[in-house]
Amino acid sequence: MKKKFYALYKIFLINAFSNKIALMFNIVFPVIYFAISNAPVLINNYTVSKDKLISASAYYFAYIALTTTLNSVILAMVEYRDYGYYKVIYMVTNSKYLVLISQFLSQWTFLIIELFLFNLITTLMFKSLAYLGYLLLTTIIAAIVFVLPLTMGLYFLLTVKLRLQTYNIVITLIILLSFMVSAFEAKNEILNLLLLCTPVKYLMTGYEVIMQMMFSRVNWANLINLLLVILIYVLFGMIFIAKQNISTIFEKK
Amino acid sequence: MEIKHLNFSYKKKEIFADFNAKFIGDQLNVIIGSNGAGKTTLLNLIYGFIDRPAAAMMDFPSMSNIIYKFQNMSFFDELTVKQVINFFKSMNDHTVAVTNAQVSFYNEIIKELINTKLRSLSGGEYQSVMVYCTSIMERELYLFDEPLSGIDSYIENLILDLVESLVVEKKKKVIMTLHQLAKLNSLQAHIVFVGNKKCVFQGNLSQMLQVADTDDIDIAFKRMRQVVSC
Repeated sequence: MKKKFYALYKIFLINAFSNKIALMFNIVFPVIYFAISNAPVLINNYTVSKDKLISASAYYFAYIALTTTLNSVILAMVEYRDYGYYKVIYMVTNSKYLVLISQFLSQWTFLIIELFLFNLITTLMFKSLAYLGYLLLTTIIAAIVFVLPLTMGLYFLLTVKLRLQTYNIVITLIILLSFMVSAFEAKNEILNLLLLCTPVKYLMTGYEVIMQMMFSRVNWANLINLLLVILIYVLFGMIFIAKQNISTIFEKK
Repeated sequence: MEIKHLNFSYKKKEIFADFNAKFIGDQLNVIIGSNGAGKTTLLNLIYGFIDRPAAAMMDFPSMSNIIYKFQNMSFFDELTVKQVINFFKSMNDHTVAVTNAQVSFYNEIIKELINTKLRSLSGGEYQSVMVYCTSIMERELYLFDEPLSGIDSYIENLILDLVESLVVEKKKKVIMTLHQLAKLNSLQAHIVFVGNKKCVFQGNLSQMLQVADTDDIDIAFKRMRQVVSC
């Protein structure tokens, strides 16, 4: 089993790193945006505090985690299905869950490498390399805790009958709408919980909770809401996984 | 392995109507028939890509004991041939013995492609790699759908030797579809002729020629298409 898992993990990882465009989209864009939006600090050589740097990274963490999940997991899964790769993989492995776990872990590795690169570049930019350890710890723990449930929730995209080309549009829309919604604050508890179900808000709140756990006091209301959202994502994810088809949904039937 | 009274349709198009056929375990089984006769559908049913009607299909191994080289089988284009072969090998639970034909195939075809990425292979080379990878898996039943399509005549013979060696040397069950009828002259095969939604003929080549009353396999094929059922 270990041998099979490693072989699968390896091919998924090779494939993930072969997609240079996705890598650029996930890393280069946020770095450029981070530099532009913090231009005064960079130009005037201001000193940045650890807390400020970590909290400023929440937005970028959410962007990198969401685009990686959508482009390198969900879209990749659609491609594997429509190109027929899944048929081959399932046939030789005989296990749907082995495939899902190894694919997710390879994408996790990919995400952690991206986060490491992003954090390294930004701390170098702000001459705050000393904070790299704190930043890495926060982002990696947040990635480990919050990305798997989000991925499971986003598996709903695999059950939708869409062509591969249409997925790119849908994914761009999801990213855009998620960022728009993330700015909203509601006074109503239910509405707040619904807003928290949107990817960016969920990831940013998750990141903040981890930050609070490590450096200050935890906002318990946020934590409970987050756990509820995690539960919703996981439950829906399990239903979507059971429904997942290994053949293209446009196959002759 | 036997199919009895199989009925199957794609929505409104009926593919099989009371289809009956037997496949022999210790012989190479070759399914022939016109385009659109249902050869691929039959393999999809045997493997389980299409839900297998248990009552109509008897004594076929379970899905986990079958490996299927389907048409247009493709894999991660960024991987090299070596990486793909290693991936397939690592999916076997234990080390698998190789046949002489597999060794020859590897030395003559695969060796020179070993460091090439799949995306750089020609159609025929891709097909050869996929057939080879399928053959190195350890399973009870092997299904090959048109393994010779897009292949030159020299490699065609190597592929047939490879497929035949699975039956002769490894005592595996093999079912394949074929359009290159002339190749049947050199094979010890059990032929299943699919046409008119039924199995039109099953038996060996000499029996098929006898039934069609000819010495020419192409004429036999033409005549068989007009026969109604086995």
